[in-house]
Amino acid sequence: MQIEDYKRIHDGLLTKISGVLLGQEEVTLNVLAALLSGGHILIEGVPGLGKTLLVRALSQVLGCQFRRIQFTPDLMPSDVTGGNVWNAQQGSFDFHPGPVFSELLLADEINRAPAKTQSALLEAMQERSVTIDGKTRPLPRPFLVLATQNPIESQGTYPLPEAQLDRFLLKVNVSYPALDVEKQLLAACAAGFDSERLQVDAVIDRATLVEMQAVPETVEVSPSLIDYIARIVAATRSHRAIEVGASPRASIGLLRTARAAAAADGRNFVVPDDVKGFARAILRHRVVLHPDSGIEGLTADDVIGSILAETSVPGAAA
Amino acid sequence: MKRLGRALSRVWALCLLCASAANADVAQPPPQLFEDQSLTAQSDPNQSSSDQSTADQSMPEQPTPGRILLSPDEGARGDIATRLASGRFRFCSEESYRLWEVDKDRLCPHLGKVAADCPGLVAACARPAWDEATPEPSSPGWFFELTKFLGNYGGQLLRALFWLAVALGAIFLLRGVLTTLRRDGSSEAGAATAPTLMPTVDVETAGQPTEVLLARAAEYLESGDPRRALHFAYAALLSGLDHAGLVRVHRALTSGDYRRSLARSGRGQAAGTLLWDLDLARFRHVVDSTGAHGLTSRVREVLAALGAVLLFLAPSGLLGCSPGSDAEGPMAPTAPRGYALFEELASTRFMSFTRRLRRVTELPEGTSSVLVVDAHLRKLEWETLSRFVTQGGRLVVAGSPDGLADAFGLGPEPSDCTGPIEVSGIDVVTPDTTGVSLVALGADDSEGVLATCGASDFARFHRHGAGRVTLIGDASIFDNTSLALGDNASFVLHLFGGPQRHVEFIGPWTGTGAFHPMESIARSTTGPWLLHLLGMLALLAWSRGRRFGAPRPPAPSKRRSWIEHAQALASHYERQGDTGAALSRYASWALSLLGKRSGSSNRDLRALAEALVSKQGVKNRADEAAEVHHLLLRARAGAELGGDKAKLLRGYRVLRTMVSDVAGRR
Repeated sequence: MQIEDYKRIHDGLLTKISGVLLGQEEVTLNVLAALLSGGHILIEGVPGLGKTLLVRALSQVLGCQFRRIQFTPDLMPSDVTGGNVWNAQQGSFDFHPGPVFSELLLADEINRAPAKTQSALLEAMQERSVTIDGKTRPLPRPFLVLATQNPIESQGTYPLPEAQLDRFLLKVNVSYPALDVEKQLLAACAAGFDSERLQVDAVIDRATLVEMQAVPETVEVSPSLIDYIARIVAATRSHRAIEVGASPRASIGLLRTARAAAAADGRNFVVPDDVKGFARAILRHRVVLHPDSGIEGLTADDVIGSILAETSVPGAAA
Repeated sequence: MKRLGRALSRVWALCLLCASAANADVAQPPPQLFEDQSLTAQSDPNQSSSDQSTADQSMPEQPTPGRILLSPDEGARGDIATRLASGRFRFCSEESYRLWEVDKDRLCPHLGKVAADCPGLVAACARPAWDEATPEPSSPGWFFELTKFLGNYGGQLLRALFWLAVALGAIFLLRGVLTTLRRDGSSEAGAATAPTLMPTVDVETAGQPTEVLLARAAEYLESGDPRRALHFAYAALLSGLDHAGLVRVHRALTSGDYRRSLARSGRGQAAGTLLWDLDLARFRHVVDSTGAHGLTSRVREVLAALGAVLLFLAPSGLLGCSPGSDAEGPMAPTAPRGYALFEELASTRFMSFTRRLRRVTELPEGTSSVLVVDAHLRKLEWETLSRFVTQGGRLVVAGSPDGLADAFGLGPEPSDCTGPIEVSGIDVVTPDTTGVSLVALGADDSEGVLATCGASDFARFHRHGAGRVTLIGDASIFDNTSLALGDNASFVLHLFGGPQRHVEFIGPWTGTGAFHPMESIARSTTGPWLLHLLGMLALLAWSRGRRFGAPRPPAPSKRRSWIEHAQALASHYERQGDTGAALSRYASWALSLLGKRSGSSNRDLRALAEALVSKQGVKNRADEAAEVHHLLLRARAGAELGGDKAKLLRGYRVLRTMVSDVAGRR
């Protein structure tokens, strides 16, 4: 696939999803960049902002097999991965695959399940396989996890462990829509739009998605930009407001996403803006702030913003 | 040893006595003022006619007996012209320069005789001059009185204390720096080092003017390096936008950031697009040379368009807002009354040349000449100079400094100049035209005359011991104004004669350093500021309540106190929106603390409320206790009660204040 085709399809996907999810173009762009670089996404936002709608629209335009798991406190790992069930007639154990055996998995309100159940996704997300009773079963390709969580509730929720968070390529924050966008939304609802009965035409199929995921690998990155990425991530490890900095997986993720963003812009080379534009989404869930910073009211986005404001851009004229 | 020394000194004194007796008996040969033989020959009134005829071939006129014939020094004249044209001497080159009134009176009548083409001087003479007024000292008078009162011994004590404080401060600072470095080193050693890759193109563009950056871009384009050219074109465009006030350049900003900034401001969208195009071209794998040419041309066009803005801003400089029109200090080195021209000339002509700042208690080894211009020297210093001349040194004294007569037995008296300055062989112009006070040097004791002023001598030399003293009537002959005129530079160089090893330049600045820190503060007129600062520090110390020298409490633990943990936890719940849980968790801890501190049980909330109220010394106890009781009840049941969030928050805050009041922060 050529870069031009990639851009055309990407623009088509963007237009289609933006038509459903109003006023969240940046969120959609981030989600597409992560999907097309083969990464998993954690979407965070208060209830009612259209997180689930976004994922459903995405599954339809991508033409992929879509499964949803509503994470609850009593959800067990086998409810995610599936398990061996005794077949009395045949006298043997039959494997019943869980919802994780799908191409697009929506883990809705992932932080409502305990850590044991959340951890069932660790192997699936990293290795793209599931091991049950000593037998490893590969997951279909593509395999993408889109998890949502609510940032404001603390009772009855289980924060995701760092190892789990690190496996998400991006963490996207969904914010409230602007006033005029909300008016458009209301007008659409008044005209009969029902998100429960959403039907969006597929733009691509599974094979095209796999083909598209290979395109960013062909995008060139100059050594100065690799240096820029490394400096940004290294800065998170020495910043005084951060207790635990980002891992090399974050650097790799930033590189992959920057390449995908360049391809989406129809370029076969990366520019500094591609890197800087995704740095927050890549790093915000990978850094652990000092307790002092939390008490002072600093957020991960603030700290990453200060790092970006201090890290010199390659070819900067100052 | 003492005997040997005494014997040697007696032998030396005997030799001196013999020499002076011989000088008195034998006809004195003409003084060997200058090493170059031609001048010496011309200054000899008894020289043979054949020698004289040889001298006449090179010199325009025959000097009067005792007068020295000087030849113009073309090198010095050229040197002066070059320096004046260099742009550093603003009075000569700057169109917007304004002279001080004194300088205007001195320079402007001699415009035709300025050694170099000075366009600025013509303009400066046409402009009104600055009024020179003596600034009032801003330090209080008693401060000066105090420095006088302290005198020598007090001053020495202060000086010692000052240096002791500085040394202690330096040690403290050094210790701090070393500790920090050690800590940083250990943390760096423990931390993983980030991979460092060299950028593809390493260009240094920071701090260069726009036109230079553009020129370099063109150079790299010509030399076939389009990528580097694009980096410079990008930097040039940003520099132009920065100067036009459209963006603020920063090393951490990308083209996208600049584009957004330009879009927000609603100006320079074309420039924003061009920035983006340049960025795309710079980071492309293969850079197209033709494209680079096109982009550089577009940068030129955009900068030309921006030039209109810059031109609009430029007249503000012409209207007197530019730094060029600032008044230059009247005694600044490059001002008309400064000595920069002479110093630079001397530095190139003499083997070494020093502007003397310290007191003249001793002279550096190898000093061949000393120039004294308008200096205020003490008796001890004149004695040092006298010893120097007696031992064969040369002293050039300009003006009539106090102490000269006592040290050398020369008694010049001030008198008005009765005619133009006349020097044989060269054209000397004194800038002070009328009313200038010259020195009537008299003709009784001179060994040779270099210049006259009507009936008086203006410059002449005397033998003193094994050396010579040259006296000049006007000290201003050495300043920039004087050296810019006629052949004054040649004249000034002739005063020193032949090649010089080391020349010391003594002026009004010599030995003017403060004797102790208090004097220095008084002179710098920073006394009120320092007193103000001290007052502020005293207030700060008083507000902190710690006596100076009191033992320091142990360093606070980095761990936060339990109260802060509890508050942080509660704040966390509050941020999460679970205000009821926040209040109940905080309340359970706060109630136990309040119970302990107030000496009451936290089980009986009514008793606790009364204890708290009595501790606070409230007048209307019953009402207050009921209110506090209600608050405590609500706080303990906060989570279960739920309800209005604002009310719960208010209760939480009141409880927090109560804990702070009763239990303290820690």
